Amino acid sequence: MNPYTGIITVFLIAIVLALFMIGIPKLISPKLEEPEKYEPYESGEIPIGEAWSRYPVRYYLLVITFLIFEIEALFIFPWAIKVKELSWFGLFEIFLFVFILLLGWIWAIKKGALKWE
Amino acid sequence: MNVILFSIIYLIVALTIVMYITWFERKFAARIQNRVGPYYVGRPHGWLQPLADVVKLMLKEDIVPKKADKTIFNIAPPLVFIGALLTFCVLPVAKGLYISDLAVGIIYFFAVSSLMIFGVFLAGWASNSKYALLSAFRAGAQVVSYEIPLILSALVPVVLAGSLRTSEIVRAQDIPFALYPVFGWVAFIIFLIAGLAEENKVPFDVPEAESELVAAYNVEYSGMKFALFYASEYAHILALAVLASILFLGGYRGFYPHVGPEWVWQVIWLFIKSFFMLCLFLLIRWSFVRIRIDRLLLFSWRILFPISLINLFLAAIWKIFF
Repeated sequence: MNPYTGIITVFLIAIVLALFMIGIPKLISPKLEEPEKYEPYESGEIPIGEAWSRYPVRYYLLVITFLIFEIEALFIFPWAIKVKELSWFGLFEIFLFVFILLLGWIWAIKKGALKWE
Repeated sequence: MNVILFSIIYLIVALTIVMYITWFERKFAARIQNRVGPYYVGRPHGWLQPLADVVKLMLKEDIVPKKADKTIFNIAPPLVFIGALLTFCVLPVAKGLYISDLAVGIIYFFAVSSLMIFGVFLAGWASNSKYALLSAFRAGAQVVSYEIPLILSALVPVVLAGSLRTSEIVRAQDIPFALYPVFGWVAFIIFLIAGLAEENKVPFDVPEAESELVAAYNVEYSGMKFALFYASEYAHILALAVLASILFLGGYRGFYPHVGPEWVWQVIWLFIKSFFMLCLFLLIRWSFVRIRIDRLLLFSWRILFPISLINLFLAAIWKIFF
């Protein structure tokens, strides 16, 4: 039995269900055109400017740091299921790998990449 | 054919439970705040309230803001919903009762649940509303930050069981992994904290932040599209509660008399454990205050991340010794 049969089934059911849930209200919900309704919500004020403009976003450094450690976690996975077999040698290897990345983590913190001032 | 039928039943049950979680949370919150909560729709204690909500949301007008990016605006809610439902595939409810027993179960769970954040970010971006956009930024940063402690703490049961298969992890738990000294406790607590943060719940609800960002990335959504976000949020809570009980509390295992079919008892045990996890989530949610976004992110990067890493190595050393 292919284990992905169930997953594809759930995927298709989810799509159908989502379309169904969006489609039904299209048939039965009211439609009253009013220009104010289609403005973005800004707590009742008249919207000022565009939302798609430039922001001082600090999150991008965070996301780069995240990428590094997410991939690290992905490399830890294969080791994690074979800890017993690989024994001390495997532990040492993975420790070395994590240690090098941890240096990067310490550097990022020292550099203030995760700081908000 | 069997699998298809089973997954349909599984999803129907799961979505019904999700509907009733919303009701249960409202009652729970009401009790904590010394209120009664929903009461009039369906007589003892408003048990028909979730159905009434669905009907109400169906009758709402579907508004798409004029300035929004319409394609992405419409794609985002189904994307989140699909991501939320797909996570249920690898969660067994009893011995042999699962939609799919993937060999990479845990990786699959995290891979699919990070589909949701794409939907959330696209929703915030496509709305072309400042509140929604800021909320999406925050949601992205927060989920991304807490994903790593979450994965690293979920790796502790994987190391101890020596498999990524959820059924294998359950089989390995003669003693629940949450009871293993020190590293078991720490992993469980970190999983709880990071799980709460993944769900954008108080004390980690900066993306939602009613008092500053009005609601969340879904400010501009109305009607059933809003309901899709809402449903997938609660579906994800349910999935995480079940995953936590599978990883740390022994899943469907428990003591039961050998009367009647075995799987019924196992489903009941899993239900009790997941319900306990859910109550824990709700209790934390309704008793703490919100943390500021920068402190929130620093907490994950400076404290949770190193602790969970050290914890993982402790578990590995223990595994090598015994």
